[in-house]
Amino acid sequence: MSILHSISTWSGLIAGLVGVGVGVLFFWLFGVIRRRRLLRAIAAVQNRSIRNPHYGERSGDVAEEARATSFDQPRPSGAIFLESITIRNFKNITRLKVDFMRPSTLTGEWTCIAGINGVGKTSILQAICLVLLGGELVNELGRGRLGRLLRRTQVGVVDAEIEAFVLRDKIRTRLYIPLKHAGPGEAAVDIETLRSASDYPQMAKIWTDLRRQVVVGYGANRNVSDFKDSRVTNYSRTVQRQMTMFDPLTQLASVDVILEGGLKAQPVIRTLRSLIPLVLQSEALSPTSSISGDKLQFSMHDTAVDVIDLPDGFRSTIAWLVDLCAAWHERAGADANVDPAEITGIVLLDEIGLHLHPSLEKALVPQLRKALPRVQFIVSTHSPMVLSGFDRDELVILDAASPSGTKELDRQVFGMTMDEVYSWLMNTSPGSPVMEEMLEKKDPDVAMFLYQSKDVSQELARKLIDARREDIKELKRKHD
Amino acid sequence: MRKLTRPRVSLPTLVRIRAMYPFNRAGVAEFPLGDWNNPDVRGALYAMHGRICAYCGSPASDQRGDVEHYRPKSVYPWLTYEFRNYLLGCRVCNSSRKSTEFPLLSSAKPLRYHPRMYQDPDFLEKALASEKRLLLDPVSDPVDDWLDIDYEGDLSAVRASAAAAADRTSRESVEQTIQFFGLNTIVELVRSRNQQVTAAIGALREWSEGNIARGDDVRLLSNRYTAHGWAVRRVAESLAPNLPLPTAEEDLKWLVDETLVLLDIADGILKKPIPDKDRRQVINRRDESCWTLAILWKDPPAASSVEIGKWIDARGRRAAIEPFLARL
Repeated sequence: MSILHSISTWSGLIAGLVGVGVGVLFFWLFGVIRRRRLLRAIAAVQNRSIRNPHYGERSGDVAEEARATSFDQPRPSGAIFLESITIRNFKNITRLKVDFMRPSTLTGEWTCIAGINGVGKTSILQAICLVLLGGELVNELGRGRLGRLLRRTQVGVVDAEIEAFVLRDKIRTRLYIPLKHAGPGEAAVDIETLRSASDYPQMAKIWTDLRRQVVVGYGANRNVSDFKDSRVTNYSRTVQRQMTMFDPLTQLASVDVILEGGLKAQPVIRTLRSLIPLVLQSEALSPTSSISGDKLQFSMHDTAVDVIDLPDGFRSTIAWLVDLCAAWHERAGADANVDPAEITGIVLLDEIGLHLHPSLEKALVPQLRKALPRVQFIVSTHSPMVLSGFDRDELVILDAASPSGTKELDRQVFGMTMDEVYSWLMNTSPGSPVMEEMLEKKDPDVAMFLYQSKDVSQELARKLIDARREDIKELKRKHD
Repeated sequence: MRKLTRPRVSLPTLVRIRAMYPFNRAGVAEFPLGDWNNPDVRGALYAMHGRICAYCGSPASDQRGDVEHYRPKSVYPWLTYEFRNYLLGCRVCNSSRKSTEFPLLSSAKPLRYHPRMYQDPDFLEKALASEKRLLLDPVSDPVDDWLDIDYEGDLSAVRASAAAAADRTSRESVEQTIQFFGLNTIVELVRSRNQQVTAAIGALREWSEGNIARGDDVRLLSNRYTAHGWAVRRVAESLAPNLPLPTAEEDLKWLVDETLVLLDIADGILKKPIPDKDRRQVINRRDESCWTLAILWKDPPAASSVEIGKWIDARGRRAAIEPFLARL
């Protein structure tokens, strides 16, 4: 009996052990398969081309005006794209028209705005925000905040007007925002004028539909912190998603997803897991593959790190990517499982390469083209590295000296080196300020410094200077 | 900076604007902006000094440069469409350095408009010459005699020549100009000029030791119509007076040939299907080259009109240029 008993105990133990072993094996296998599948999916995206196969196509019956905006190119049905905007008396802009869908040799709907500080990059993004929010929602921003958006002239404040055209399924609709002065330092959308427009019903329809689509805007300060910001909770979700554009101290709308996680964050985290390694190709950073998966964490040097504890450089890029995915999953009827390539929407991004090292900055735009091919991006930058990733017709170079307000580009910049982008596109001398100062002050070592370059070490510079002095001496001796 | 000769031609754009927009008493007119970029005006400037900046000698930005108002149009509106006020500048010299400034002697006031300036070119010329300006003018000042390269200073800095230093006004003018345009302080400018001069010095030494071919390298570098050619020329004249440098006529032949090549390139592009926007631009560039050739043909700074005609003929381009010549 005791023997029998002991046998059954032993077998139970063994069976238990085997069971656990099999469990562990399955768990491990499951992890491996999942990881493999993810890597394969990432590789597939990597192999996508960034060359637009439809560039140069023309159909005979399209008017010249339509041709100028790549009207005919196939686009996801139902999605709304911004085609152009005309801004009048908005902040420091008197009048400016910008086209966003000019035919490009590269894939995706991208526009990159560049220009010196104060020329109006952020103003354009803000104007786009307003015109996409629509008359009613704009007023939610508050009369004081809107008041600051009007143009001030010597004689006083001038009423602003924003007019835009959007495209959906090859149908063009006008959107219009009249922003009127309303008391000292205040402004509001003139709802009466707006409603009396003959095409108001179509506009209202687009604005309603835009609320069901992803429209997100990120200012140059996009923060993630555990500070509870009570000021923004009164806004509707759509407006909240644009707030970093207008208020540098606002939190991102989805800060809760980032910080707390939980069940509702799961689909977002799943999407991010395939998106982030594509966009930020850094050895130092990868989303953890923790199986519970209800909190977004990253592995840095083999330790798990929360988003809030990430280095600043990664955080400002991760933050908007998380918010974008969260916005997508928040829409009514969103699938829990999403290929990022399915995401449609409009993303406005001030300073796209913010805080990133040039090596990461360099890959950012091409990778986003591949990873999010159906999202319309309207971004701004000061970085030559980012600028050189765009087609000339995707670039809007603001130039106060030009009558149209923008500089027409007659060549592609992606063939240029950073030096050339600096001097040709950005009107900035790529020389070192230290050197200029030394030349100015006639520093005795200035020649030694100037002769050094990526090909000439300090030692070689010395030799070159000596050789030149020797040549001169020799030549002088000859003809004396 | 090298001495320039302004061609004596009447450019269609300027003739048209003069006829259409009369000045008021203050010398102001409701001019259109930007017509100074028309192909005839640009072509004339290319004919005058090739595609290099009149002030710093760098390649004209973008191979095209900016049409520079020597006396800024904001201070001298009546010189907005006056050819004698135009030079070709690089973007640095035109926009960041010059902008709306035109330094004068501290006691002097900017020249005021007088209706006679409009009718009488000689009167205008005299009035302009009387102004106490500080910046060198490469057309009317003897800049070839006044500017020198300090090749012994390792950096090939620009400085006042012995002749200019002897006189207080000319010395001040030269020093002001050097400082104003940062001729010895802009890093890329100093670096590229110095590299060119260093290369020439090395070649000169080998030439002096019997390597004849290296003399040709120096001759190429000292072409008047190429970047920093004047600086190399100055150094070669001083260090190797026996080396024959290219004559004005030889350099001019180079410019004509180079412009004919540009014309061929433009024609090649126009044969291909390209977007309308690009086509308009190429035609515009082509016109500029045609104007350059026509202007050189009409009033060449060296050689003779007949000779230029022969050079153009040699490439079968007479028919392409003649219509432009007829409009001058």
